[in-house]
Amino acid sequence: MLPHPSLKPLYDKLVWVYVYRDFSGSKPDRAAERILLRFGVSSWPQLFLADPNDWKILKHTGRTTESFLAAANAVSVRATPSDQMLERTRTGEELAVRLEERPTTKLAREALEHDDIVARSRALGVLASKDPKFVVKRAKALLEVPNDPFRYRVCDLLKDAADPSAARALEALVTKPIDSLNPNVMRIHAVDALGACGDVRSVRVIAPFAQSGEYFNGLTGKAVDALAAIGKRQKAARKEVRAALKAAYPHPPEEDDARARRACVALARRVHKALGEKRPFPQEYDEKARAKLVNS
Amino acid sequence: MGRMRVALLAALLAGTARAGSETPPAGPPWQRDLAEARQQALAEGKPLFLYFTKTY
Repeated sequence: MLPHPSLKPLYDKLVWVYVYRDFSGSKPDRAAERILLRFGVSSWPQLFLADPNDWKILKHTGRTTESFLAAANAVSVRATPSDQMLERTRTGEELAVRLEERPTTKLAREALEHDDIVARSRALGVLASKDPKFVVKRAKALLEVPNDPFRYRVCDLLKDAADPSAARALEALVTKPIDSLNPNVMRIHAVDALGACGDVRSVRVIAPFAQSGEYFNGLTGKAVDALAAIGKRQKAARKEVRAALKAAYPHPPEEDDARARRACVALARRVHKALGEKRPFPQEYDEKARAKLVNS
Repeated sequence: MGRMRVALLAALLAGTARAGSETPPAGPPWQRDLAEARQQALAEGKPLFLYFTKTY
């Protein structure tokens, strides 16, 4: 896409920021990481336009000249900056850097309550290892923070803590991953946590994802595993889990595609294992074999 | 045929190198410091364009 003559007129209409991570933990790498945390970026590459006033992502530009031009010509920014936002960012960045240099529990607890996402993210990183209970107690509010990597981390802590009080908040996140840049990955983390925290109500939320038949999507297998985990822990949920898992045997692909077949059989085997089936998995997994497994 | 393959491979490798390079693509006046970029964007009423990449 760059350099390109048709993008030249935009060189002066945008402020161009290049964010490169080498994961060395060096000062420039940590500064780049703070920009990622601010915008909730957790996959690469990402290209978007943002409002310098409130950091709001205005538009993803795509990676073609045409899509870039269309996005850049469609956005505008607010005329007056908010002093409150500027101050929030300044103090948040300062706090984040202090935490990088001196990661104490006391400072992290304070930073977790800050309004700036970078300070909160750094705090979460410290508390995840030093005081996870502090995070788990605040899980409901923290799962509403509109930042993907932040919420992934909260979900992972909830999974480890296996705290049933977080089940409803996790279900809400699975049902509607509001403000997520990557709803599928958000759901993977939340479903994984529900496997440890959820109950019979969670089964109804997870089941559609286990039964989607999308054997190329990591979420499908995670949903199957989560259902099995709930069934294992909760006697009251077993009947519902079993019914949900039976319906999760995927339909074999209609087209003659070896890769799709392999993925489909792998998912079917995962369901079979999750059900704790004693009968061997069929040699040939076709519609007839599937129907037999579902109706047995 | 052989030459075409080499050319295709070279183009592919060049694209890969750019995708995760520490050096930004040629052309625009890139910045690295978000605080400075924000200051400029606010002063000039412009949106920020952010390009996130990493070492692959």
